[in-house]
Amino acid sequence: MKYFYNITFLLFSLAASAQEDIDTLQVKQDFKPTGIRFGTDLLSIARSSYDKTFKGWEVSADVDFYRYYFVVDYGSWGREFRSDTSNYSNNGSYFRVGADVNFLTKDPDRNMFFFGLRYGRGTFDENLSIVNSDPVWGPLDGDFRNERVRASWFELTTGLRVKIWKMIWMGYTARLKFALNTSSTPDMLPFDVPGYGRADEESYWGFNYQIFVRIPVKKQL
Amino acid sequence: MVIAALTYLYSRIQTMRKFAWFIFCIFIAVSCLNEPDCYQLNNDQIIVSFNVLGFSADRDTLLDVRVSGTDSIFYTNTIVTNALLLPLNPKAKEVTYIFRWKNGRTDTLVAYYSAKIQFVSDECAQRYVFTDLTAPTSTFDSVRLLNGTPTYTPSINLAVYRCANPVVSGIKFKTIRVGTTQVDSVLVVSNVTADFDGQVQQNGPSFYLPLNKQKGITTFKFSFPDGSLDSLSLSYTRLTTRSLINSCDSVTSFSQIRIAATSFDTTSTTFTNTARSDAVRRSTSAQDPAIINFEILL
Repeated sequence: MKYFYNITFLLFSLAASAQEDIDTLQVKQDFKPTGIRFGTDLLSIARSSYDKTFKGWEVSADVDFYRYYFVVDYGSWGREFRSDTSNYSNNGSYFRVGADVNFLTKDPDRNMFFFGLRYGRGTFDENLSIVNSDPVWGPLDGDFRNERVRASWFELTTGLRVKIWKMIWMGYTARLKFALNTSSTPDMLPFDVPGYGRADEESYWGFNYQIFVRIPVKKQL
Repeated sequence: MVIAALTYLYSRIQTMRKFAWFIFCIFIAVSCLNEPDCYQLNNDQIIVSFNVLGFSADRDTLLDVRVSGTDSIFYTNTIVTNALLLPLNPKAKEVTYIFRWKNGRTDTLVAYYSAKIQFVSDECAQRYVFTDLTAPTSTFDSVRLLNGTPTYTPSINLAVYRCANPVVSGIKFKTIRVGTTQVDSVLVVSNVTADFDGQVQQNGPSFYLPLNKQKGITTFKFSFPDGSLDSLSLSYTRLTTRSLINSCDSVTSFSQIRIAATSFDTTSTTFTNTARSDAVRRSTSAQDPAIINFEILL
């Protein structure tokens, strides 16, 4: 039900924003790209330094086709949790491809308020060691390992891109991730999927705070 | 230059703060819902109900249940009126349950399943997720899979059935204590025998009397500690039908049961339907599990 509400909220926001934009859409449509932005996620870098359970990074690139942006993300993350009875670790990489629709088409600086869709894929390994005892079944110690697990999912995205200075842009992307699918694993269900998050959640939220460098390839009209 | 850039960014954020704050607050609120919950992590038990084919829930008494892979003993001296929770072994792909019944019968049920471990969090540690439950091997007359995935909320996974054997009629002795108030009699009986090799069972003031399939009447002798004897004869109509269930033999049903003769100093006999509130018309029939067909007022 939570997943349904999230989708409904995003679609409703998208519809409302689109309606607002139709009223002011007077810009000439030119689908030739004007620039490529390369960026990285600052939150992943910051989190890697203060969160002992997380190590990761993510880079992004997008290119504009009028109000539409083709977006590619690539990243890596690993998690590690240690307790008295269990040690868990994973490590893997992922990429996302998709498109954003900008709803601030009249902005002279090409600032963005966007909604978009992504398709994500990742590959990762994970290990779990446990030392445990059950009152009925006795010792349950064991080492479990999943290797080269493949995962895919979809994302609805929204966020801002704001020009800071000349070629420098900043912004955030909020992601509603859903429809996770992982390859079969014999003895252990995946816990954390790099790029997605907890595998036992039907939907999951993600958030990036990004800085970009925009390289113009065509003079803006 | 940096100050100018920050000022510019601030002005832009102000312009779009309506969108920014709204989305950010939604994100924070929903993110809090994704915290792991350590409560009831494992679905490591199945629920098994016990039934009689053609009738309702069984009421036999278990001596105990033993489970492969553990020395633990479950459900000693338990009436299986309610469904039983049985454990699944996370270290194995199958588990064998051995049910020893008070009536001397022993049943075996083998459950097959998939068990996978999953890390949850450093606070909750790990959990086991059980799926793909099946039970193709059993000594019960029939096993029905109702839900192949054990759930965290009560839901019957397996319904096991035994063939019906409705050959027992129940009687209960009652007495009048004050005015017209009827209470269970404290009748002390040394022994009760039937006029054939059927075994009589007693539960307090209630007696469960086996009916003879070969004759239309069965007589029971009640002996008392002072050496006195009383008799009770039940007559009935017999009907033998072939069961629709392949694993069951033909079933002899007893209906129109009535007290043909008795030496008890009784003031009245009444039909009762204590076991089935909707079975007034069946209270003169033998049921499985047996019901009290008569209350004898002494």
